[in-house]
Parts: sequence; structure tokens; C-alpha cells
Amino acid sequence: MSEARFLKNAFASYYARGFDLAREPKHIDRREFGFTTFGEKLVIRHRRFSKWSELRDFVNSLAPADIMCSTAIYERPDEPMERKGWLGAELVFDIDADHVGTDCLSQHTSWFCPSCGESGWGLGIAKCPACGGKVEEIKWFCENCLEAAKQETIKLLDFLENDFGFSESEILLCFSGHRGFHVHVLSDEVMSLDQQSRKEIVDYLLGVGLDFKALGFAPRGKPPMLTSGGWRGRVARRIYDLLFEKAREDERISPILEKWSDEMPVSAVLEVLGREYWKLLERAKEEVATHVDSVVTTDLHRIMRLPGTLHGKTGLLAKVISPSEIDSFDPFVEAVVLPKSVVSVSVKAPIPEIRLWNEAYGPFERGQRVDAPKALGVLLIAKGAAKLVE
Amino acid sequence: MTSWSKRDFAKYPFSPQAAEFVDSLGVTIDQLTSPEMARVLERAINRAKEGVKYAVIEPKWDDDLVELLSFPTAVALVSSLQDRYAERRYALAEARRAHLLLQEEDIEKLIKLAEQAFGWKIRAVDDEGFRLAVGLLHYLRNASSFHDPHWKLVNREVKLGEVFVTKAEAARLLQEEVQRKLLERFKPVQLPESLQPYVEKLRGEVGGMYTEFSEHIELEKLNYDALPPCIKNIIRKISETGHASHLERFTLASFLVAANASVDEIISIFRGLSDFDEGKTRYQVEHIAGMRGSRTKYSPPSCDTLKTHGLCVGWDTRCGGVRHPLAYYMKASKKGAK
Ligand code: SF4
Ligand SMILES: [Zn+2]
Ligand SMILES: [Zn+2]
Repeated sequence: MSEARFLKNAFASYYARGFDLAREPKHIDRREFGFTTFGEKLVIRHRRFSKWSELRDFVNSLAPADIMCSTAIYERPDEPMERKGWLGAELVFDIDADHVGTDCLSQHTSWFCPSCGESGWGLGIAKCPACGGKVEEIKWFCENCLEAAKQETIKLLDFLENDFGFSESEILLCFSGHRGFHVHVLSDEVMSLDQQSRKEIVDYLLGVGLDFKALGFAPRGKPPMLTSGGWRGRVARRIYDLLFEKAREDERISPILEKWSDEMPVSAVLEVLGREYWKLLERAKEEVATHVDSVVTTDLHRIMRLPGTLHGKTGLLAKVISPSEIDSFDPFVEAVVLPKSVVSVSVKAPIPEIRLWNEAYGPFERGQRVDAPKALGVLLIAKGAAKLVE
Repeated sequence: MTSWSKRDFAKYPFSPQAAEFVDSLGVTIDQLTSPEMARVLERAINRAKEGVKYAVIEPKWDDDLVELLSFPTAVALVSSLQDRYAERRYALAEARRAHLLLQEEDIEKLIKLAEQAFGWKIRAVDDEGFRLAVGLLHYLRNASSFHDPHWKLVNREVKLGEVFVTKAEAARLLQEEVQRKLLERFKPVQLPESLQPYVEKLRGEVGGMYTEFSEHIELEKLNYDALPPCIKNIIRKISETGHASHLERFTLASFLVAANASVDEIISIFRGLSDFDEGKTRYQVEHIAGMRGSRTKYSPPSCDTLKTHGLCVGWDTRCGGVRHPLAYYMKASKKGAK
């Protein structure tokens, strides 16, 4: 059996019983759907389904690798972009470990050369050192990067709820199925937001254009309070916490903290810290910001993975998570929905240790033969790091 | 303002409440040329003319009803010009007029107006000097085209879906709302024969200016026709929308300085900005010209830079391989002089 067929079968048998976990979008008949397939790696776009059951039938017959749905609604979703007639779009956010700035990615990226079969570890390898051919890069995830993405998502949810005032019921949160999370704000009133407004929202989350002086962090301004809204309050609280930690080794700090009631004693802090104060502000800003992908949020015509469907490169479920339960969400347990039955694969490119359920697998070296639970087998094959053993 | 007075209708004739009142009067467009309506028609023509030509409409009148009725009439006249540029200028003018009036209102009235005429989420607060809290989405829709950093959401107090603003800021946001709403209002109208002469008269008075932007610029040293497409485009944007980003402003000012335009010429172009402030603009232009501050003269960005920022509009069509907008201008000026 070919690898493509194996993957397709695995997805088909999952969808035969698991399609119910997929989340039907509002106004399904106004959405554009897109798919990629295993094997020929076709990209199918501009599909319209008038009913949920039609989509289900389509998925069951095609067993696609990825099921994508437009965040926008259109008058004519099945026509080319210029003629679709944009009616509005959800406000969406993508948090990916790639944007969060963890440094583990370089340690768990491998590559494989399809022309000569050579492989190895390393990020950004342009050419195969053995034959000079073009290599395929395989990015893995680890507990560390997914935890970082999760913490970033928790920050995002806090911004959405406490600053922007969206309620939990307006927010659809899901695991991306790979290295991050997707957040959709579904309330009707955000649908008409234009691109510029979405850009403002992104800048807000990233802290782009933040003016410390205007926000009162320089002397002679209106000093921020711990209870202030927006970035004023967030930065002030973060500075307070950072100083609190610092107070243990620096006895000049305690008097500041004592002086600090609600209003931040900006001049006193500046006097004690000197130049270091501005660095502290920058650090607080970095820690307060939530690193969403700005391209995704400002794109009014985006298609994104349909929540509750499988990721074609991992076989993991883009599971819908209730925002209040993200803390305890464990993707390596809860997003693993393919069976445990065993499949034999042989390794093409180095694979780091991967935990599925509460079992650790790997690391594996090239040429190694592994009897893997199907969920792992799909992950390794879909990533192009292993092939089937007949 | 639980109940609207006639004066309120005259002040804010674009509100649904005013429109409803006008409907209740049962005046039709055909009656406009009757003698009783002469004053309405006269005010409407002036309103349209001033609006399109100067992007201002003086908020002064003595008869509320005439003032009110002149508004839908002026909108119809402008619509029948069938010119997007004229519509934008007119919407900007009405919005500015409203802004002047809004600034005079007290907080309660401002709130009622925003709620009733535009469906805003807005309430009075007393929070670190801010008097009003505006719903986030209403704020964004209207403030996201402003370029001053203090309007950026990131520099605002944002709490639970509300943005805190001063009264003056709320009035400014409402100006944008008025402008946007008005732009949505223009649709093709078929005016009765009897009104055609007035439309033609209006077209005659403002026609030259909306087809060619050069007219309202006090041309002295500048050769308008020779300006490169990117620069003309910024000028057009300013006069049509009243908005320009910092880079657009800088590009325009530094280009014009380098093209030897006088400070007054430059200021006359910037006058179209909805946040125009003569003193500030003069200072900035003189700064760019090296007459102030560091005394360095700033040179305008190259085509490459403008392309990167999406400000180049003529690279593959009209400019034929120039690398700097100034080079285009020099070449085109020479050609024109021949
Ligand atoms: S090519 Fe240069 S001069 Fe022409 S529009 Fe573009 S930026 Fe302006
Ligand atoms: Zn090779
Ligand atoms: Zn990692």
C-alpha cells in the first residue's frame, strides 16, 4: 500500500465515526471551503456546501488531508475571489510556536533529501550536503513549544475578555493540530470590521506603536495606576511584579514598592533605576504582548482549518477547547484520536522523542524499524519522516 | 434629546430622526423649484458648492427648516454630478460642519446623538480625566484611519470592550462616522427636468476642480501636470478623504520641497487633511525644508522605497523606469516646457 493510501484510509475511517466533532460554522452556505488531498496533493478551493450533511458526504468520499473553511462569508462563495461578494469575516487569531520565539525549534527540526535519501538534524539547511539536491524540512513540536504557544494563547484570551470585552460564548478556541492554537471571535458585530481596524487590534496585542510617554510612564505625565485599563495597567502591573522579584537582591527597591499605592511612583522608580528603567519597560512590554500572526488576522479572505477536523501533516485533531479549560489542555493526549493498533514503519529522517497519551516514543534514527501505534505511524508518515513497511 | 427639536434636525440633518421628520413634511423633489422653496434651493446650491469646492460648510443659518431641507437637496444635487470625488469632498464638508456643532454640545447630548443617530455604544464615565466610554468597535471603525499615535488603540485606556475618550475626541470620532455614513448615502438619482439647470450650474462651478485637482492648489512655482503619479495620488487622496499616513505626508512634503514649491503652496495642499492644523503643518514643512531644527534638508523617498510601502502607482505603466519621483518630475517638466 502506498503511504498516501495508508493516510487516506486512516483519515477515512476516522471521519466515518469522528466527523461529529467538527464544528459547523454559522452560515455554512456562505462559506468557501478548501481541501488538500493525500497523494497528488491537490488543492481544491472555492467549494460551497449548502448543508452540513453535504460537507459530511463530501469528506467521507474524499477523505481529504485538510479541511479548510473561510473565516469570511460571501454572497457567492464558489466564485473566484473578485466575484465572491464579501459580506464579513470572523475576527481570527493564529498563535503558532514559530511566532512565539522559543529556541527549541532549531533542536527539533530535521531534513530529508528526496533525491539521495540523506537526512539529518538542522533548521534552514538549503541544500543536501551529500548530493546538493533540495531537501524537505521537517519541523517537529515538543512539550516546550506547545506550552509556550499555550501560554501565549492564555494571554490572548485575557486580552479578548478583559480589554475587548468578548465573552467566552463568543470565542471559539481550538488546537491547530500542529504547533499552535486558533481563536475565532464569532460575534456578529465583528464581522464587518475592516482591514485597518483588524490591524489596530493586532498592533494592540503585539504592543506595536506603544508610546510609553503618552501612557504616563515618563515623569510629568499622568502616572499609570495598577487598576488602569489597557496597556497602562498591564505594563504597570508587570513592572510592579518585576520590581517585586528584584527587591530580594536590591535593597533600593523596597522603598519604591512601599510608596506605590495604586498610582505608580514613576519619578521614584526612574530615580532609583536610572537607565535600567527603560529596559525594564521594554521587557515588561515584551512579556505583556501576545504574539499572534498579524497576517492571519488582517487577511479578510483567509481559509482556516475547520475546527474539530484532522491536521493533514500530523493526524492530530484540531480540537475545540473551552477557553476556561485551556490550562489543563494536553494536546499529546486530547488531540490524539487515531487508534492504537500497530503499524510498522521505517524511519527516513531523524525523529525526536514524542509523547502520545502518556507513552514516550523515540527518538528514532534513520533506517530504524518501528512498530508504532497507528496515531504515531500517521504522524511520522504524514510528516515525511517515515515510510510504511509492507 | 429624548425628543429632537427642529434646531437639532437642522444641526444634524443626516440623522435618521431628521430624515424621518423631513418625510413627515411630505415635501417632494418636484416642489423645489416652486417660489416658496426658493430659499431652500438657494441654500442647497451653496451648500453643495462650498462643500465640494472647499470641503467646508459654514454652520450658520437663521431658518431651521430651510437649513434642514437644504441638506437632502444638496445631497441629491451632488449625487447627480455622478462624481465620486465630489461626493467625498461633500461628505467631508458635512462631517466637518457637524464636528463644529458637536463640539458645542454637552456630554449628555453628545451621548444621545451618538446612540440615537448612529447606534453607538457610549456612556458617561469619570475615569482618570476621561468623560466618555465608547464601544470598542465603534471606536475602531472611526479611529483606525487616524495617524496620530495618541489615537492608536495601544495607547488608549481599553477596558471590557470600551475605549475611554474625552468629549473632544468623541466629537472627532463622530465626524468620521458622519462622513462614512454620508458616503454610503450617495446613489444615482434622477432629478426632475426643472432642476437640471441647477445641476449644470453646480457642475460648472465645481467641475474644473474635481476633474483636475490643480485648481484649488495655489499654483505658483509648481508644475502640477508634471507631478509623478505617486505624488498626484497622495494629493488626490488628501482632497478626497482628508486622510494621509505619516509616510504619505512626509513623501509629499519632502517631494514638494525638493521640487521647489513654496511653503504656502505646500500648506494649501495639506489644507485638505481632516486634521489640518496650519501652525503644525507649517512647522513640519519648514522642518523638512531644513529651515528649522536640525537644519538638514530631508530628501524625498526613492521609487524603491515607495514601492515597498505600496505608494507607487505608476511603476509598470506610466513611469517607464525612473528610479526617483524627482527624476520623473524633472523630465516631465522639461517636456511640458517645450
Ligand atoms: S515609479 Fe516612482 S515616480 Fe512613478 S509612481 Fe512609482 S514611485 Fe512614483
Ligand atoms: Zn541528497
Ligand atoms: Zn519545541
